[in-house]
Amino acid sequence: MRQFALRSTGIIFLLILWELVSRTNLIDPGLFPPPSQVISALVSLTLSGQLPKDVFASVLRAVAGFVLGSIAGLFVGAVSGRIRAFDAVLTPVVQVLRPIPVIALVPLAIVWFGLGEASKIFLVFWGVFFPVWVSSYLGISRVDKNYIWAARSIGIRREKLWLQVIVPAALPTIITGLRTSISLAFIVLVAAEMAGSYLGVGYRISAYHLVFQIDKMMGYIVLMGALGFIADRTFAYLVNRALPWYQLSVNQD
Amino acid sequence: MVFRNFKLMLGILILVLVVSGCGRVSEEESRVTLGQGMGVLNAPIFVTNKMNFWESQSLQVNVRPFVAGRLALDSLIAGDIDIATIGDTPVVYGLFKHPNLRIIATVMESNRDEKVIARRDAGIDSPDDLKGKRIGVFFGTAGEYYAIRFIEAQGLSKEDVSFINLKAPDMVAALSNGSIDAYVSWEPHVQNGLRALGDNAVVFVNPDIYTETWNLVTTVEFFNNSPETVRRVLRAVVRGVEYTNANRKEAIDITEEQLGLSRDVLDSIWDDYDFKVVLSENLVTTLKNQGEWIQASSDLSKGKSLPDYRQVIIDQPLREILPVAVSIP
Amino acid sequence: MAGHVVVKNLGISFTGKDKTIWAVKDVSLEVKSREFVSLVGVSGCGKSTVINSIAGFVPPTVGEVTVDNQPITEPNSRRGVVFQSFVLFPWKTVFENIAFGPRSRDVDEKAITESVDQYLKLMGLMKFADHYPQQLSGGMRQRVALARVLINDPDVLLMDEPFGALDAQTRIFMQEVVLNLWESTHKSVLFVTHDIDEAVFLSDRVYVMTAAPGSIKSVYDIELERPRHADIRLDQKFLLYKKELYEAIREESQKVLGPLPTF
Repeated sequence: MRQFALRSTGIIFLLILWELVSRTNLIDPGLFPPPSQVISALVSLTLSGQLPKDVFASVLRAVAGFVLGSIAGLFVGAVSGRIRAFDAVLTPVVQVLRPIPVIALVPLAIVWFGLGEASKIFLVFWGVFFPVWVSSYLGISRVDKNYIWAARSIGIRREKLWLQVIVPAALPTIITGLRTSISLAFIVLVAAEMAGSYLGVGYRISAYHLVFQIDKMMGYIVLMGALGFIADRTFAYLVNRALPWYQLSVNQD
Repeated sequence: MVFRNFKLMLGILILVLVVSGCGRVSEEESRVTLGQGMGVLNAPIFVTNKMNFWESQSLQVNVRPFVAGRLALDSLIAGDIDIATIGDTPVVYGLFKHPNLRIIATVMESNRDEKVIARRDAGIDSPDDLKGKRIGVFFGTAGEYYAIRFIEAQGLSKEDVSFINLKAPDMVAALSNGSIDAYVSWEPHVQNGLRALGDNAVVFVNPDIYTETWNLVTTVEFFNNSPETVRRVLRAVVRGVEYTNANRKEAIDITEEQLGLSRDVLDSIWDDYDFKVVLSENLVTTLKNQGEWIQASSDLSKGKSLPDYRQVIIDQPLREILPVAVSIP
Repeated sequence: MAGHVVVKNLGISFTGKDKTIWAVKDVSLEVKSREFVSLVGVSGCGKSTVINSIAGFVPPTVGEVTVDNQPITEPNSRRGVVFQSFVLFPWKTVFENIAFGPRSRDVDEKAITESVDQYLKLMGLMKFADHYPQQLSGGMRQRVALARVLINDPDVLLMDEPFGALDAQTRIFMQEVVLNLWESTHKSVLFVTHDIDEAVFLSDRVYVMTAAPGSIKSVYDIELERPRHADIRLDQKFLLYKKELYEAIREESQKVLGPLPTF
């Protein structure tokens, strides 16, 4: 509780400083609107119904792309991390595609999939796939062989080894990859929405920028930050709920 | 002998020094960074660059291209560039937040540059069919203003269609893959759309709703610091416009190189553009009309009155260089 | 009588970048049923490799390893392994770690709970059943590791420097724990250590290995009466064994470390 109070102090101080800087005309408030103005813009956008639609659309895209990209990344990473033949075939392909910055694919995605959901989900998928693949590949291929030996010598059957030993042993590495991918998913999503969309948080940031509606633009930027923060905390919460041992292992290292 | 030769040499040396020295004083080089919005309407600047008319004004010009004048404006505001060619709409928008923007000359006027292009297979054969359609528009550009005026001229309102913000070059792809039913833009983007869609495309032009001006824009600060540079830029651009008008074929060749539109296409639309260096009442009027439109349609000017658009125009340098070009009091 | 381990002329090599490295060369040893045998040697002599080979983790390059006349092909719960680094599963609680073996064999869950509880009690870990290994001290972790192996009732217990990561006090405590367990269960034990005192205290027989690539240098039968208690360490015979072993090891460590520097 005390820590919470301390942490809030920093944020409240930042807000007050921001408000004062704008109010005292140190910086043109037209260009750097005070938080009160940004908040009132957010309120009126919420009341008009536009903002909830944008948030819903963006969150749906982020979640869909993240879930699909993670599943694919986990699967390909696990298979190529453990099975030689797949490693030989898949890993070079992944390594060739991986260095392509996903932002560079934004225009291509619009050409291929249009402005709708498919292009956004594809881009988030692409952005999430590689870091998850890397963490899954490394996590699975570098499982401490002692775990496998220990399990085998207390009688586990080969087919149970995957679920009982290899996957849980790789989980800490995989979780780190997944968590990185969450922020990446939002970065990619905003870039994709800014480039072309019908609605969404990134779309509004770009549209309001072009017509100099800086308070609304900042409102959506702040909102984007809040969404990223909430997503990260939610993930951390779910991980700790589902895997109580995870936090213990991390603290120990 | 030796002595006489020495005096001669000394004389020549002094003469050379004086001449070159004088030259340096009056013809000192200025550097200027120029942002250009890409479009057929920028042809005179393409010509000025290619023919390097800057050089005879002792200007060293660093040219930076932008997809749209609207984006060049961001750089101008940020101080990355000194002067930019921009349509009128972005300037009107920008003035609400940045009152230091100034127009020093119009270099082109056109009422046929902006167009609507639509897919026939989206059920659009006439402008009235746009009702309920998804229309790509580059927000903050003249295209947006034209789109609104166009829709209104059909007796429709903004709510009757859905405008989707898109960067001009992305519109072609979006229309091709059916993400949007139509878009509004300037050239070369409508011609590119025609090329991509072929017979499936239909183009609408309404010349009676808006005459766009393409302007040289700077900031108060740059003008006050470098009035002479601004005058030299104007002189070079005047030459560029004269050349453009006197050498249609060459000007088209240069524009083709910049925009990738074929000569034939450029030739067919070339007469839609009136290349001239002017400062006219039309500019003040169009700025004012758009200011009122923005005031009515957004809360950008909340609590503020519209600026005096006459004061946004700096006419003195052009008045000195080409008095006939200035028709505002 | 199960749990008779025979290692005959065992050699194990690993192929490096461009050369073959022999980890052990020509090792022969025997652990008779219910015997407690130690293998001592300097660091890097290949002691662990011998254990890994008997466990079935590493196949012999030459020679043969048999348990009860059966050649070893893969790991099996008849031969339990206790590691220096415990190798408990951090994603499982103490209870689940100990229950791992029986659960792998699909034993009835009620029977599992009973026997896990029994081992928790035996090891003094009742209060920690729902803790994760990360929350335990080193000595407790090694007791969990022991329980996890013993619950499978193996014929052979292979212990690879099991107390190497523990502090001196815990180590002595754990030696007595193991000794008591062995007295009551009489498994065959092969115990790898570099601690001479530990080897003499625990074993019926001690094999000393040469420096790498390891082979058997000498064998000592430790004829001290059982059951043994901590005070046996002060016994004259105990000290003599220690001295003999100490000299054998010292020769080998000088091969590795070189002679003592003179000041």
